[in-house]
Amino acid sequence: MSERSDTAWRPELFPRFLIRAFLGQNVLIRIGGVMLVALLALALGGPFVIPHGPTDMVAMSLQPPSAANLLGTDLLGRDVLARTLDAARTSLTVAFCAMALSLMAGAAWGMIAGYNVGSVDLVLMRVLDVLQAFPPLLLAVALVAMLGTSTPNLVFTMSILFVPQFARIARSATLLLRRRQFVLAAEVLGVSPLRNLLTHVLPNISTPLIIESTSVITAALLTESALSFLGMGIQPPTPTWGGMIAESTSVMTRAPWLVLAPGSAIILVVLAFLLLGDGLRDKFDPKVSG
Amino acid sequence: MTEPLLTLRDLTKHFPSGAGKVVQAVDGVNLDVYEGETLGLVGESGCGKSTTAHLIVGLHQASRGKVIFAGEDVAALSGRARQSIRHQMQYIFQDPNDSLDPRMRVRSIIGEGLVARGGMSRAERDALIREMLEKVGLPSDAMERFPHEFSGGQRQRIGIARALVLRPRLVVADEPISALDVSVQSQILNLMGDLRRELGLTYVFVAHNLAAVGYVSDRIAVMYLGRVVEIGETADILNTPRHPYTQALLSAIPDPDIGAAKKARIVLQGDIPSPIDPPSGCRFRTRCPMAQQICSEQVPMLGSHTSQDRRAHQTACHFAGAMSWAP
Repeated sequence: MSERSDTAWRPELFPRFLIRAFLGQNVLIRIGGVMLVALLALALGGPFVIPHGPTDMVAMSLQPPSAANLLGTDLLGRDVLARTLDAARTSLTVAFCAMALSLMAGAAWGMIAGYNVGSVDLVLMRVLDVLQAFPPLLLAVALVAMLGTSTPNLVFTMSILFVPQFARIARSATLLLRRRQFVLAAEVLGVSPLRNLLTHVLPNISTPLIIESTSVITAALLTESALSFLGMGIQPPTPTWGGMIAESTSVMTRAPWLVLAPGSAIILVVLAFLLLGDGLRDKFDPKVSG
Repeated sequence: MTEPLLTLRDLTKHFPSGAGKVVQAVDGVNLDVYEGETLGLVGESGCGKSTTAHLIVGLHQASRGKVIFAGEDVAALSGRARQSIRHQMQYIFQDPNDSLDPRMRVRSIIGEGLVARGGMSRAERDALIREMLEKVGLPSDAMERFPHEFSGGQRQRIGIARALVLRPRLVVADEPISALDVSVQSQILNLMGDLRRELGLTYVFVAHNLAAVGYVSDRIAVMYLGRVVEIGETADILNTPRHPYTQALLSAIPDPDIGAAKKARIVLQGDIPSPIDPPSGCRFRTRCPMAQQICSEQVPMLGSHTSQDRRAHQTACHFAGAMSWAP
């Protein structure tokens, strides 16, 4: 423990970085951040306020929005608002887990490739090329079909999908750091390559990776919706946004609220993450902000 | 005669450069560095002096030749023996703005080598770090601060402390003052000199500034295009240079004495040739004012005309000393 303790805590890392980003002057970060916080509050607090559960059949089917059911009811007479809010938790959790897994795998993959320029790098990056040669949704469908439909399999499949993005960013940032004198200095001091990667390289490539993770979580959200729409994501009756849209396509013209509610939810969350990501990039990427 | 602490034998580094070509960054360097001395390594940019420094501490693997430290061939060692020898050779980097991790506190920066070496408690490490900070002239509260809170000269002191806290026998300093303000350059040189005497260090001091190298070095080796062209005691090199390249280098040092008679200036023609396709024979011949037929046919070997002593003044020139020039 004492081996790690003197390097583990670095106050200039995440918390202060995020707080400063929130209070900063960047409009995109502020709008995206506020939207995200509001949506998260709705997703987490909503189920306690709404009197109906997401799978309770509370009224006649296909009722238009009313005081009792603010966003109407679906084909089975379930409350659309309750289902939309409940789906937020499922969708966001799945997307976040997939993003976190691929961030870890991709960062490790890219750092190892970037640190060992030469044959190791060549092999690792060609594997990613093969992975990226498949259309992402097709690959996801194939993997889910192979592994079977379940929530853990869905998360695993999606995390594989996004490894290349993280790995490429981690590799290019590592290549630059590899030439920096403080990384060479650690080598002369006899620090092992693994420890060098963890103590010097990882903290110094974290900013681009965090920025990238906002766009990956967006893509994961959309992929999950698409897979659920195709029936290969989370299985009913658990509500997800994509699944809700899929259930409702046949009655879309008669009861548009069934599609509009989850559709708008997807749009709002994606927009919030994209705004946040763009703002963070403007703020921290010198190549864009100039 | 005592054995040298560090010996380079036929040390060569060729970097692949596409299309089957190689950059001959360092080509057959032979050097002996004796315990307690400071050997200056000078030459213009691209002459291979930094690559040589990297080869010594193992940041590059040699294409050919050997690095022998305290009688041991470093490349032949592995595992713990190699680690132990690495800790006896330390490196001071050129740019203190780049050589200190911006996200680490000074305590972690200086303690990094100690942690890697292992076998010490945190309290023991802290005691050593505090002692080292004092030796390099920094307050002990510097431990808790980040590199950006220090000036360039102070950062280089941190870099020196990081190298010396492991108590190495050999310190390779790669242009340790060229990134600093002129006003603090001499402070750092003096600090390095004091620490050498106090800790019994041996330095290999790499620089392109002959005046600075002359100030700190016992002996000087002059490199040109990957080879050592002249080596000898500092006074011999500065007062009676025999190689035409050394003479040209020395004549380029500005004289601070305005009243003095203007000294003869040897101005070299052209640029340093490409190390991908170096000239045959003597590599300096394309810019040498006294090159003859033989210079393109035979590679001149480092040698002394008067002595077999390995520490004697040696020159790699077919016409060494033929052109007299005195600063």
